[in-house]
Amino acid sequence: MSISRRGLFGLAGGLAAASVAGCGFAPTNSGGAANNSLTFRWWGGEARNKAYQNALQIFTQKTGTKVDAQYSGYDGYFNKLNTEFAGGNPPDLFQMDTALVSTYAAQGVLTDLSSFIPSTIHLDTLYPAVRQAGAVDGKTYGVPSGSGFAPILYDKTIFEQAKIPVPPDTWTWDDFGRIAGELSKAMGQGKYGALDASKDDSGALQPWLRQRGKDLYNAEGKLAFTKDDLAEWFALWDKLRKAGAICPPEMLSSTDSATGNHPLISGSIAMTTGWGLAQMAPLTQHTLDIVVVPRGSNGKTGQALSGGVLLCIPVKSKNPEAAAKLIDLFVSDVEAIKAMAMTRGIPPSSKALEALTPTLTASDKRDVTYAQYVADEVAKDGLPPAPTAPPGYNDAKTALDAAAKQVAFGKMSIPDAVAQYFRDAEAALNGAK
Amino acid sequence: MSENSGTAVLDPPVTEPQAAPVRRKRKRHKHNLAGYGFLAPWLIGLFAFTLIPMVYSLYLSLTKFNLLTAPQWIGVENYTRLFSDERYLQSIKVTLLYVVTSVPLKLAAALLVAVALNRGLKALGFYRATFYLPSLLGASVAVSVMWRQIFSRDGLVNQFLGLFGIQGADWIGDPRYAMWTLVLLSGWQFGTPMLIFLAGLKQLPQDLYEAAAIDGAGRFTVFFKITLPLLSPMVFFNLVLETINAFQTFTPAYVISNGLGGPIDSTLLYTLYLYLKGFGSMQMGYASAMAWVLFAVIGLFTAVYFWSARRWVNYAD
Repeated sequence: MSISRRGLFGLAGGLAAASVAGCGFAPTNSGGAANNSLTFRWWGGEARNKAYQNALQIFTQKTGTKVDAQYSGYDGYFNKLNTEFAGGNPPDLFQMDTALVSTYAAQGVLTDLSSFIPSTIHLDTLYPAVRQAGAVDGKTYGVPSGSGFAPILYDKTIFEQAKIPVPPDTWTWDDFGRIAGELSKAMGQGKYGALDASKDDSGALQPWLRQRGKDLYNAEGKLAFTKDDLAEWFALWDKLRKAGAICPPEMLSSTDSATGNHPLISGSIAMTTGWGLAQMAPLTQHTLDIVVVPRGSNGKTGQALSGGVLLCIPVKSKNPEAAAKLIDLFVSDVEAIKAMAMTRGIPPSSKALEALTPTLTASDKRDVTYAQYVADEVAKDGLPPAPTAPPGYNDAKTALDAAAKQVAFGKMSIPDAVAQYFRDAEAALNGAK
Repeated sequence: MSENSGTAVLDPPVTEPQAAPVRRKRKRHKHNLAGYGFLAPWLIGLFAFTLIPMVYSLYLSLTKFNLLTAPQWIGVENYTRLFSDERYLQSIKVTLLYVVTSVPLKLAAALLVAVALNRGLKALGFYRATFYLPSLLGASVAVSVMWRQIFSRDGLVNQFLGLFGIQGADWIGDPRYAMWTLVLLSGWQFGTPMLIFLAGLKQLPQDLYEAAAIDGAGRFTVFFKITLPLLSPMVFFNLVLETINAFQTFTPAYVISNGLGGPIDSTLLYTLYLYLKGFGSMQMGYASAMAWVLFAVIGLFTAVYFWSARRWVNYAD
């Protein structure tokens, strides 16, 4: 299943291969948590699992609280979690998808962390922009454990072979279309300059909307753009599609996971949204690099800073105090930060970055410098932070994917697809209340 | 001879069973108890893992249940909503298409191979095992992943077509073809019905074939006039089982479409949509209603089969 997995993995931060290891859950300590123990569940790849366990050892040394670590891949993570919530026996602390926090908060199953801030959880050490990542209706239900942005990932080797200069940080959507077209011509038959990103909500549509002073959703959990906006968005991509600048829709079937089948890795396209270096670079011999999503004509990036993944405490947690202390360890403990390094995304505070900088690898450094650059650009945008994705987000996202592909396959006219999207997305957002 | 005496001869005198003494009844009860004791492992499984969950899901289908908070009673709303849900109707369309194409394909392949293997081959055991192998792998994830690779844009099929200068389509990514890769996968896994057909073929009475040979009947006549009618109970059995299986197909569609039923819902099989609704959209009440409708549809299909069976299934008396 794909509860916003792609959007999440698209973050530039090195959420390293978080879904790849879809292995079973670690054995559960069914005894539950006494006062000096705690169950903590997350999803992640091998690197993250090791790093978290190191951090948990530090936690146990410092507080004397034993942590029962339960981890798995992303696939099935929320199924199992939901089943446990349904059975009234959730873990004491768990890792949460930023896009789903409001869905859970709306059901009243998450603890409002306000009472732990600032006494236990030192939220003020985080970048101001990510402090609100887990906030729903002004209450903090989750604390970010990493941060990231959605870049355009491109194949630098193909650009060099085609003798086309790589996109500058100042490029616009017009430049994007032109460069994609030039690439298509240079790459030859059956290959295309860029991915068709008309279906990509957080990696493409959201920055495009924010550049125009709008957004995907507003603070009330409604759609924050109009039918005309979406029609224009679909038309933009339709033009590129007809010009052969972007890939045909048949290629979109293998863009949801970072594997050798992804058209960027198989060499069928040269630019994609939704993925970062950390997931894709290890899959290819080519040199990959990242650049900010094309800017609006007003020069704004429209980027929304993401909290990466969040840490949340269920209402039924048996040991919320210890869970809050563990959250704080992730946020502000230098030793733990060093132990986890980049395995959880780009650390969401300057304090963490300073602690890490001496030990980073080259591609990690590229992710970090890019993130800092984008953070500065976001500040220059002067836009309000993007509201948390509302309850029903997952179905609204599916609705965009469906409508965009109906247009791409030529099965629906743009106005029909726009109407279908608004009908389905609004039903999803209203139904989730 | 009077009419009366005739019937008397045909119907042997029926003696009413005498009311058993109470003591014997108790004894029999004890006997039964021991029987139930031995059945207990199965009975516990039936109740704990089948019947009680089924009854609970019937209750859930009448509620709004998001897994996180207690179910709220909403009556039949889930059922009435089903038929205005366009994606649901699409999933029905896709599933029916899948059932009516994959089941005949699979049975035809099974019968063909079974007949071919039934001609006194030397290494029958080897061939039988070989043809059964794909079914052993069954609905496994590994086979589906392999299928995805074979039919992908740069996959085996297109490389083969490329040898003849043909530019193959994007079989998985194109909504016109994606469904047929699933049907083909199902057809390839014909092992189980093949074994059943093979067992059936071995039991056909040889005298009919000898008589046909004397009469000079051709191979096709023999097949359609003798083999197929005699084999009809096996065909019926396989048809019922495979239809039920086809309605419940999940794994291949899930893997090949990356769990989304795409492209543009062309592989959105019923159970896949059910799963997406229940666990993806957290509408477990709605998903339960879907499950019960599927249960009813499968029951209906099976009933129709049994009703029609009287006309075409020959049981040797």
